[in-house]
Amino acid sequence: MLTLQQSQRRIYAWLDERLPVRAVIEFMSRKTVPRHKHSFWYFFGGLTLFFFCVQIITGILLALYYKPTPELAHESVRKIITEVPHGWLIRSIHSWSANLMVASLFIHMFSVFLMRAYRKPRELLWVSGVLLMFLVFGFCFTGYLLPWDTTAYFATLIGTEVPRTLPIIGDWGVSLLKGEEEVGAETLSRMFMIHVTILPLIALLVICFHLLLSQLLGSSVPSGAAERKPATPFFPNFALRDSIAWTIGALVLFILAVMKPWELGPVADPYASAPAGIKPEWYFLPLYQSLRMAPATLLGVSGELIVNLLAVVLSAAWFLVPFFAAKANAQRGSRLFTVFGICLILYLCVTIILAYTT
Amino acid sequence: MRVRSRRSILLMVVVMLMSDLLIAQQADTTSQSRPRAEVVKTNQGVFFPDVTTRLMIAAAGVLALGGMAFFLNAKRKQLDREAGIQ
Repeated sequence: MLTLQQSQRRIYAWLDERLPVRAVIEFMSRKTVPRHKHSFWYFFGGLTLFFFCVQIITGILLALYYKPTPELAHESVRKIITEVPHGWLIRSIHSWSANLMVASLFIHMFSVFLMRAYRKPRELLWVSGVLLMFLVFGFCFTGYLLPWDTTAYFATLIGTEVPRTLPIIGDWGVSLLKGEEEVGAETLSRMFMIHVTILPLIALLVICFHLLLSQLLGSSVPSGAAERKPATPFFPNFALRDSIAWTIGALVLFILAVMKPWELGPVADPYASAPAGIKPEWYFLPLYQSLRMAPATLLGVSGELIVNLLAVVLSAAWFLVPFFAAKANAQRGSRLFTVFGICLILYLCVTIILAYTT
Repeated sequence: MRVRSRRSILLMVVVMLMSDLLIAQQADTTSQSRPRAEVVKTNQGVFFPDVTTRLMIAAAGVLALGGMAFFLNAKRKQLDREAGIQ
């Protein structure tokens, strides 16, 4: 009878004859991760990936029971929560991991920005990361309507109208999203299709590209932080640290999902008036609050249009950050970029707090 | 060492299965002798297991995942020592 080690050796040899296993392991063991006072922030990229994996697994399980029609959507989600074994927990994990994924993505993105890890030759790593952030927003927006409860319905109704003020693409974008005048069967079907087919396909491609680049280029050392300690080998030492971070992430997610199960509101009634105080999820609150704070008109231009245009310009500029940061590319610090990053973080925090409190 | 790690894995699997047992107990309508967990109706009319059951599930999760984190950290320390990383 074969011992465990003999079986492992045989499986390894079988795989190694057919796949470049040895080459990959050798590459991983040669790769190192720098150690400095900001090394802690390296874990959030992996944590975002972990929550994305949880999203895929729980999403597939939910899709087994979910029915994307206005008549059946709410009832199918109710059935998932009340009748399907562990359904309430799986749905709760799916919803909470979406929130934790956005939170860890924000931390990862701003830590990369403030440590200037986007500088040459990592420009494409940054661009693909920002693209992933927008894809995650797309996932969140399209997934929000699926339970077809009152909050989801009216929040989507308001959310899908936001881009209408944009010139040229506004009306076209809204009709592409909704498929009809009001939020209805067409919208739900489109949102479901985008949520479970188009976005996952694009996201998987971009994630593979992002991961491949991060493995090939390695982790960047912040321009101000010198490496005082020898680098950590990626495999197995850093991989083990990453797996501890994943386990802690799973623990936080599990406690939240169990102790604060995600609820389901009453079924959406398109003929009823929108309930007072409907707000989008916290990650869309900065845009929501900016639209609320904007004046009706400014120099004859609609305030809503100005906010939407600013959001588009800022998003485009965010993609191009590595190409603007000439000083960072020359391995020098740029106070302007640091101040801009901190101001942006403060603005996001303040608008979220304002939206919750006012 | 291997026996110890196998035992910890077995323990972790048992703890992870505890949540299944708790849910199964709640859904079981055939046995009169088993205590059945109450379900909670929220404001929106959705049913979840009651707080005590959820606390027990959370505790099982903390034991399983906390145990795993503890085990991984011990392994990390051992590998770091071998590699001369402090």
